[in-house]
Amino acid sequence: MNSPYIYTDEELIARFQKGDEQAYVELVNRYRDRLLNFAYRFVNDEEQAEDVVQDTLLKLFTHRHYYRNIAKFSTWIYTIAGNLAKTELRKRKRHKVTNLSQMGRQEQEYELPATEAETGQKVDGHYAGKQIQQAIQMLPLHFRTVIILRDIQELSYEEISNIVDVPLGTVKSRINRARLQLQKALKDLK
Amino acid sequence: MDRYQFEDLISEYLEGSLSQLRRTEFEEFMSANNDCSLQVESMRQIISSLNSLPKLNTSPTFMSDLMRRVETAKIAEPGSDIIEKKIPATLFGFTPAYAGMIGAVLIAIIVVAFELIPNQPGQINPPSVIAKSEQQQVLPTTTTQLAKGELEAPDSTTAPKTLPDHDFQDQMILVND
Repeated sequence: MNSPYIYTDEELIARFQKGDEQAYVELVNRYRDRLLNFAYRFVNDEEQAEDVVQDTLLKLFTHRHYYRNIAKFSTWIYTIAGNLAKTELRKRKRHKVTNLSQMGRQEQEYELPATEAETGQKVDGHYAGKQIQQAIQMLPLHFRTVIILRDIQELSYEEISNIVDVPLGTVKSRINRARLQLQKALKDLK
Repeated sequence: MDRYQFEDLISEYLEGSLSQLRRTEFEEFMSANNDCSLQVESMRQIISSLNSLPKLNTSPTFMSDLMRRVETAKIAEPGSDIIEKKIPATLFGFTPAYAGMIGAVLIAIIVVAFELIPNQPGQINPPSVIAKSEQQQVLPTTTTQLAKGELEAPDSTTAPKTLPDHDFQDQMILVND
Protein backbone atom coordinates (compact mmCIF):
# COMPACT_ATOMS: atom_id res chain seq x y z
CA MET A 1 0.00 0.00 0.00
CA ASN A 2 2.71 2.45 1.08
CA SER A 3 5.22 1.17 -1.44
CA PRO A 4 7.37 3.90 -2.98
CA TYR A 5 7.41 1.97 -6.25
CA ILE A 6 5.04 2.29 -9.21
CA TYR A 7 5.16 -1.44 -9.89
CA THR A 8 5.14 -4.24 -7.35
CA ASP A 9 7.83 -6.91 -7.54
CA GLU A 10 5.28 -9.34 -8.94
CA GLU A 11 4.28 -6.92 -11.70
CA LEU A 12 7.92 -6.36 -12.58
CA ILE A 13 8.72 -10.05 -12.86
CA ALA A 14 5.59 -10.50 -15.01
CA ARG A 15 6.82 -7.74 -17.34
CA PHE A 16 10.28 -9.27 -17.39
CA GLN A 17 8.83 -12.68 -18.27
CA LYS A 18 7.18 -11.01 -21.27
CA GLY A 19 10.56 -9.66 -22.41
CA ASP A 20 10.89 -6.26 -20.70
CA GLU A 21 14.55 -6.22 -19.64
CA GLN A 22 14.16 -2.84 -17.97
CA ALA A 23 11.94 -4.59 -15.43
CA TYR A 24 14.86 -6.93 -14.70
CA VAL A 25 17.17 -3.98 -14.05
CA GLU A 26 14.59 -2.51 -11.69
CA LEU A 27 14.34 -5.79 -9.77
CA VAL A 28 18.14 -5.98 -9.53
CA ASN A 29 18.28 -2.45 -8.13
CA ARG A 30 15.62 -3.25 -5.57
CA TYR A 31 17.19 -6.44 -4.31
CA ARG A 32 20.98 -6.28 -4.76
CA ASP A 33 21.75 -4.59 -1.40
CA ARG A 34 19.12 -6.52 0.53
CA LEU A 35 20.47 -9.79 -0.82
CA LEU A 36 24.05 -8.73 -0.14
CA ASN A 37 23.26 -8.13 3.53
CA PHE A 38 21.47 -11.46 3.74
CA ALA A 39 24.32 -13.34 2.05
CA TYR A 40 27.01 -11.53 4.03
CA ARG A 41 25.45 -12.43 7.39
CA PHE A 42 25.30 -15.98 6.13
CA VAL A 43 28.79 -16.52 4.67
CA ASN A 44 30.66 -13.86 6.67
CA ASP A 45 32.74 -12.68 3.71
CA GLU A 46 31.86 -9.61 1.67
CA GLU A 47 33.43 -10.77 -1.58
CA GLN A 48 31.84 -14.20 -1.43
CA ALA A 49 28.53 -12.60 -0.46
CA GLU A 50 28.69 -10.43 -3.58
CA ASP A 51 29.38 -13.53 -5.69
CA VAL A 52 26.30 -15.17 -4.17
CA VAL A 53 24.20 -12.10 -5.07
CA GLN A 54 25.60 -12.05 -8.62
CA ASP A 55 24.73 -15.73 -9.04
CA THR A 56 21.26 -15.18 -7.58
CA LEU A 57 20.49 -12.29 -9.92
CA LEU A 58 21.92 -14.15 -12.90
CA LYS A 59 19.65 -17.06 -12.01
CA LEU A 60 16.76 -14.61 -11.90
CA PHE A 61 17.60 -13.75 -15.51
CA THR A 62 18.09 -17.29 -16.81
CA HIS A 63 15.29 -18.93 -14.78
CA ARG A 64 12.72 -16.12 -14.96
CA HIS A 65 10.07 -18.45 -16.39
CA TYR A 66 10.33 -20.74 -13.37
CA TYR A 67 8.69 -18.09 -11.20
CA ARG A 68 4.95 -18.65 -10.79
CA ASN A 69 2.75 -15.95 -9.37
CA ILE A 70 1.62 -18.11 -6.45
CA ALA A 71 4.31 -16.88 -4.08
CA LYS A 72 5.74 -13.48 -3.36
CA PHE A 73 8.70 -12.57 -5.52
CA SER A 74 10.79 -11.80 -2.41
CA THR A 75 10.17 -15.33 -1.11
CA TRP A 76 11.38 -16.81 -4.39
CA ILE A 77 14.51 -14.69 -4.66
CA TYR A 78 15.49 -15.21 -1.01
CA THR A 79 15.06 -18.95 -1.46
CA ILE A 80 17.48 -18.89 -4.41
CA ALA A 81 19.97 -16.72 -2.51
CA GLY A 82 19.73 -18.91 0.61
CA ASN A 83 20.39 -22.07 -1.38
CA LEU A 84 23.37 -20.50 -3.14
CA ALA A 85 24.76 -19.21 0.15
CA LYS A 86 24.51 -22.69 1.66
CA THR A 87 26.29 -24.13 -1.38
CA GLU A 88 29.04 -21.53 -0.92
CA LEU A 89 29.42 -22.51 2.74
CA ARG A 90 29.66 -26.19 1.84
CA LYS A 91 32.34 -25.41 -0.77
CA ARG A 92 34.28 -23.36 1.75
CA LYS A 93 34.00 -26.08 4.38
CA ARG A 94 35.57 -28.59 1.98
CA HIS A 95 38.27 -26.08 1.06
CA LYS A 96 39.00 -25.28 4.71
CA VAL A 97 39.38 -28.95 5.62
CA THR A 98 41.90 -29.35 2.80
CA ASN A 99 43.83 -26.23 3.80
CA LEU A 100 43.99 -27.08 7.50
CA SER A 101 45.21 -30.56 6.75
CA GLN A 102 48.01 -29.03 4.68
CA MET A 103 49.01 -26.51 7.39
CA GLY A 104 51.54 -27.12 10.11
CA ARG A 105 50.50 -26.68 13.73
CA GLN A 106 52.40 -23.42 14.08
CA GLU A 107 50.82 -21.93 10.99
CA GLN A 108 47.23 -22.22 12.19
CA GLU A 109 45.67 -18.94 13.16
CA TYR A 110 43.01 -18.62 15.79
CA GLU A 111 40.80 -15.59 16.12
CA LEU A 112 40.52 -14.64 19.75
CA PRO A 113 37.05 -13.77 20.95
CA ALA A 114 36.26 -10.13 21.59
CA THR A 115 36.28 -9.04 25.19
CA GLU A 116 34.52 -5.70 25.26
CA ALA A 117 30.79 -5.40 24.76
CA GLU A 118 28.81 -7.47 27.24
CA THR A 119 25.57 -9.29 26.84
CA GLY A 120 22.83 -7.17 28.27
CA GLN A 121 24.47 -3.97 27.16
CA LYS A 122 23.24 -2.02 24.19
CA VAL A 123 25.74 -3.07 21.53
CA ASP A 124 26.36 -0.68 18.68
CA GLY A 125 29.37 0.48 16.70
CA HIS A 126 31.76 -1.58 14.60
CA TYR A 127 33.14 -3.78 17.34
CA ALA A 128 29.78 -4.86 18.67
CA GLY A 129 28.65 -5.54 15.14
CA LYS A 130 31.66 -7.79 14.64
CA GLN A 131 30.88 -9.62 17.85
CA ILE A 132 27.30 -10.22 16.82
CA GLN A 133 28.44 -11.41 13.40
CA GLN A 134 30.79 -13.84 15.13
CA ALA A 135 27.95 -15.13 17.31
CA ILE A 136 25.71 -15.58 14.25
CA GLN A 137 28.37 -17.76 12.64
CA MET A 138 28.27 -20.05 15.67
CA LEU A 139 24.58 -20.85 15.07
CA PRO A 140 23.55 -23.99 13.18
CA LEU A 141 22.46 -23.22 9.59
CA HIS A 142 18.73 -23.67 10.18
CA PHE A 143 18.85 -21.21 13.08
CA ARG A 144 21.15 -18.81 11.25
CA THR A 145 18.80 -18.61 8.25
CA VAL A 146 15.70 -17.74 10.24
CA ILE A 147 17.36 -15.23 12.54
CA ILE A 148 18.90 -13.34 9.59
CA LEU A 149 15.59 -13.30 7.73
CA ARG A 150 13.63 -12.18 10.79
CA ASP A 151 15.90 -9.83 12.75
CA ILE A 152 18.15 -8.42 10.01
CA GLN A 153 16.00 -8.62 6.87
CA GLU A 154 12.83 -8.02 8.90
CA LEU A 155 10.65 -10.42 6.91
CA SER A 156 7.33 -11.66 8.26
CA TYR A 157 6.97 -15.10 9.80
CA GLU A 158 4.79 -16.17 6.86
CA GLU A 159 7.46 -15.18 4.33
CA ILE A 160 10.16 -16.99 6.31
CA SER A 161 7.94 -20.04 6.54
CA ASN A 162 7.65 -20.06 2.73
CA ILE A 163 11.36 -19.46 2.16
CA VAL A 164 12.62 -22.20 4.46
CA ASP A 165 9.62 -24.40 3.65
CA VAL A 166 8.72 -25.33 7.22
CA PRO A 167 5.46 -24.71 9.12
CA LEU A 168 4.84 -21.35 10.77
CA GLY A 169 4.96 -22.79 14.29
CA THR A 170 8.36 -24.35 13.60
CA VAL A 171 9.66 -21.01 12.29
CA LYS A 172 8.53 -19.22 15.47
CA SER A 173 10.10 -21.86 17.64
CA ARG A 174 13.36 -21.80 15.65
CA ILE A 175 13.60 -18.01 15.88
CA ASN A 176 13.12 -18.07 19.64
CA ARG A 177 15.68 -20.84 20.07
CA ALA A 178 18.11 -19.06 17.73
CA ARG A 179 17.82 -15.90 19.85
CA LEU A 180 18.44 -17.92 23.01
CA GLN A 181 21.52 -19.52 21.44
CA LEU A 182 22.71 -16.12 20.25
CA GLN A 183 22.32 -14.84 23.79
CA LYS A 184 24.40 -17.72 25.09
CA ALA A 185 27.03 -17.29 22.35
CA LEU A 186 27.37 -13.60 23.13
CA LYS A 187 27.75 -14.42 26.81
CA ASP A 188 30.49 -16.94 25.95
CA LEU A 189 32.23 -14.39 23.74
CA LYS A 190 32.21 -11.83 26.56
CA MET B 1 4.96 -22.28 34.32
CA ASP B 2 8.52 -23.56 34.52
CA ARG B 3 11.78 -22.09 33.22
CA TYR B 4 11.64 -23.98 29.89
CA GLN B 5 8.09 -22.84 29.18
CA PHE B 6 9.14 -19.32 30.11
CA GLU B 7 12.08 -19.35 27.68
CA ASP B 8 9.87 -20.71 24.89
CA LEU B 9 7.63 -17.69 25.22
CA ILE B 10 10.19 -14.86 25.37
CA SER B 11 10.02 -13.98 21.65
CA GLU B 12 6.23 -14.06 21.59
CA TYR B 13 6.17 -11.87 24.69
CA LEU B 14 8.55 -9.32 23.15
CA GLU B 15 6.59 -9.29 19.89
CA GLY B 16 3.31 -8.86 21.75
CA SER B 17 1.70 -11.97 20.33
CA LEU B 18 0.86 -13.71 23.63
CA SER B 19 -2.74 -14.03 24.74
CA GLN B 20 -3.76 -11.92 27.74
CA LEU B 21 -3.91 -14.95 30.02
CA ARG B 22 -0.51 -16.24 28.92
CA ARG B 23 1.00 -12.77 29.18
CA THR B 24 -0.14 -12.36 32.79
CA GLU B 25 1.24 -15.80 33.62
CA PHE B 26 4.55 -14.88 31.93
CA GLU B 27 4.86 -11.57 33.78
CA GLU B 28 4.08 -13.19 37.12
CA PHE B 29 6.82 -15.73 36.57
CA MET B 30 9.21 -13.00 35.49
CA SER B 31 8.57 -10.84 38.54
CA ALA B 32 9.14 -13.83 40.80
CA ASN B 33 12.51 -14.62 39.16
CA ASN B 34 14.90 -11.73 38.85
CA ASP B 35 17.24 -13.46 36.36
CA CYS B 36 14.26 -14.06 34.07
CA SER B 37 13.59 -10.36 33.69
CA LEU B 38 17.31 -9.86 32.97
CA GLN B 39 17.12 -12.53 30.30
CA VAL B 40 14.12 -10.88 28.65
CA GLU B 41 15.88 -7.51 28.68
CA SER B 42 19.03 -9.08 27.21
CA MET B 43 17.04 -10.65 24.38
CA ARG B 44 15.28 -7.37 23.66
CA GLN B 45 18.69 -5.71 23.24
CA ILE B 46 20.01 -8.49 21.01
CA ILE B 47 17.03 -8.12 18.67
CA SER B 48 17.54 -4.36 18.63
CA SER B 49 21.26 -4.82 17.85
CA LEU B 50 20.49 -7.21 15.01
CA ASN B 51 18.04 -4.69 13.55
CA SER B 52 20.60 -1.92 13.68
CA LEU B 53 23.60 -3.76 12.22
CA PRO B 54 25.38 -1.66 9.58
CA LYS B 55 24.02 -2.21 6.07
CA LEU B 56 26.37 -3.15 3.27
CA ASN B 57 26.16 -1.92 -0.30
CA THR B 58 27.22 -3.72 -3.46
CA SER B 59 30.51 -2.66 -5.07
CA PRO B 60 30.51 0.05 -7.80
CA THR B 61 31.32 -2.55 -10.47
CA PHE B 62 28.51 -4.86 -9.39
CA MET B 63 26.03 -3.81 -12.06
CA SER B 64 28.50 -3.84 -14.95
CA ASP B 65 29.83 -7.26 -13.87
CA LEU B 66 26.31 -8.63 -13.68
CA MET B 67 25.32 -7.23 -17.07
CA ARG B 68 28.41 -8.80 -18.64
CA ARG B 69 27.38 -12.16 -17.25
CA VAL B 70 23.80 -11.60 -18.41
CA GLU B 71 25.02 -10.93 -21.97
CA THR B 72 26.99 -14.19 -21.90
CA ALA B 73 23.93 -16.04 -20.60
CA LYS B 74 21.79 -14.56 -23.36
CA ILE B 75 24.00 -16.15 -26.03
CA ALA B 76 23.66 -19.53 -24.37
CA GLU B 77 19.88 -19.29 -23.90
CA PRO B 78 17.65 -21.87 -25.66
CA GLY B 79 16.97 -20.83 -29.24
CA SER B 80 20.45 -19.56 -29.82
CA ASP B 81 22.81 -21.23 -32.32
CA ILE B 82 25.19 -22.45 -29.64
CA ILE B 83 22.54 -24.49 -27.88
CA GLU B 84 21.10 -25.92 -31.09
CA LYS B 85 24.50 -27.24 -32.13
CA LYS B 86 24.90 -29.00 -28.80
CA ILE B 87 21.64 -30.96 -29.12
CA PRO B 88 22.50 -34.52 -30.26
CA ALA B 89 20.80 -36.00 -33.39
CA THR B 90 17.68 -37.99 -32.56
CA LEU B 91 15.55 -40.60 -34.31
CA PHE B 92 11.81 -40.24 -33.53
CA GLY B 93 12.84 -38.40 -30.42
CA PHE B 94 15.33 -41.07 -29.28
CA THR B 95 19.10 -41.02 -29.44
CA PRO B 96 20.54 -43.48 -32.00
CA ALA B 97 21.61 -45.94 -29.31
CA TYR B 98 18.13 -46.09 -27.74
CA ALA B 99 16.43 -46.24 -31.16
CA GLY B 100 18.64 -49.23 -32.08
CA MET B 101 17.84 -51.03 -28.85
CA ILE B 102 14.10 -50.42 -29.18
CA GLY B 103 14.22 -51.62 -32.83
CA ALA B 104 15.97 -54.86 -31.84
CA VAL B 105 13.40 -55.54 -29.10
CA LEU B 106 10.51 -54.95 -31.54
CA ILE B 107 11.98 -57.36 -34.11
CA ALA B 108 12.44 -60.01 -31.41
CA ILE B 109 8.79 -59.62 -30.33
CA ILE B 110 7.55 -59.97 -33.94
CA VAL B 111 9.61 -63.16 -34.55
CA VAL B 112 8.36 -64.78 -31.33
CA ALA B 113 4.76 -63.81 -32.09
CA PHE B 114 5.04 -65.31 -35.61
CA GLU B 115 6.30 -68.59 -34.15
CA LEU B 116 3.33 -68.83 -31.82
CA ILE B 117 0.59 -68.42 -34.50
CA PRO B 118 -1.35 -71.78 -34.80
CA ASN B 119 -1.73 -73.70 -38.14
CA GLN B 120 -4.60 -72.56 -40.31
CA PRO B 121 -6.41 -75.05 -42.62
CA GLY B 122 -5.13 -74.84 -46.18
CA GLN B 123 -2.31 -72.63 -45.08
CA ILE B 124 1.27 -73.63 -44.71
CA ASN B 125 2.48 -72.47 -41.38
CA PRO B 126 6.14 -71.78 -41.17
CA PRO B 127 6.69 -73.99 -38.15
CA SER B 128 9.88 -74.58 -36.41
CA VAL B 129 12.34 -77.09 -37.79
CA ILE B 130 11.64 -79.56 -35.01
CA ALA B 131 7.90 -79.64 -35.58
CA LYS B 132 8.45 -80.18 -39.31
CA SER B 133 10.79 -83.13 -38.85
CA GLU B 134 8.38 -84.79 -36.40
CA GLN B 135 5.56 -84.65 -38.94
CA GLN B 136 7.80 -86.09 -41.63
CA GLN B 137 8.81 -89.01 -39.39
CA VAL B 138 5.29 -90.00 -38.28
CA LEU B 139 3.07 -89.65 -41.35
CA PRO B 140 5.04 -91.56 -44.04
CA THR B 141 5.56 -94.57 -41.75
CA THR B 142 1.87 -95.14 -41.13
CA THR B 143 0.86 -94.71 -44.76
CA THR B 144 3.51 -97.14 -46.06
CA GLN B 145 2.65 -99.72 -43.44
CA LEU B 146 -1.03 -99.54 -44.39
CA ALA B 147 -0.12 -100.00 -48.02
CA LYS B 148 1.90 -103.13 -47.30
CA GLY B 149 -0.72 -104.59 -44.96
CA GLU B 150 1.85 -104.78 -42.24
CA LEU B 151 -0.24 -102.95 -39.85
CA GLU B 152 -1.80 -105.37 -37.42
CA ALA B 153 -4.62 -105.14 -35.03
CA PRO B 154 -3.57 -103.61 -31.83
CA ASP B 155 -2.10 -105.90 -29.27
CA SER B 156 -4.52 -107.18 -26.65
CA THR B 157 -2.31 -105.79 -24.00
CA THR B 158 -2.41 -102.40 -25.54
CA ALA B 159 -5.94 -102.65 -26.99
CA PRO B 160 -8.83 -101.41 -24.93
CA LYS B 161 -10.26 -104.14 -22.75
CA THR B 162 -13.63 -105.68 -23.85
CA LEU B 163 -15.71 -108.62 -22.45
CA PRO B 164 -14.47 -112.02 -23.70
CA ASP B 165 -17.52 -113.31 -25.72
CA HIS B 166 -16.09 -116.84 -26.39
CA ASP B 167 -15.81 -117.60 -22.67
CA PHE B 168 -19.51 -117.18 -22.22
CA GLN B 169 -20.23 -119.40 -25.24
CA ASP B 170 -18.09 -122.25 -23.79
CA GLN B 171 -19.89 -122.00 -20.50
CA MET B 172 -23.26 -122.09 -22.21
CA ILE B 173 -22.27 -125.30 -24.12
CA LEU B 174 -21.32 -126.94 -20.84
CA VAL B 175 -24.65 -126.03 -19.30
CA ASN B 176 -26.57 -127.42 -22.29
CA ASP B 177 -24.61 -130.66 -22.11
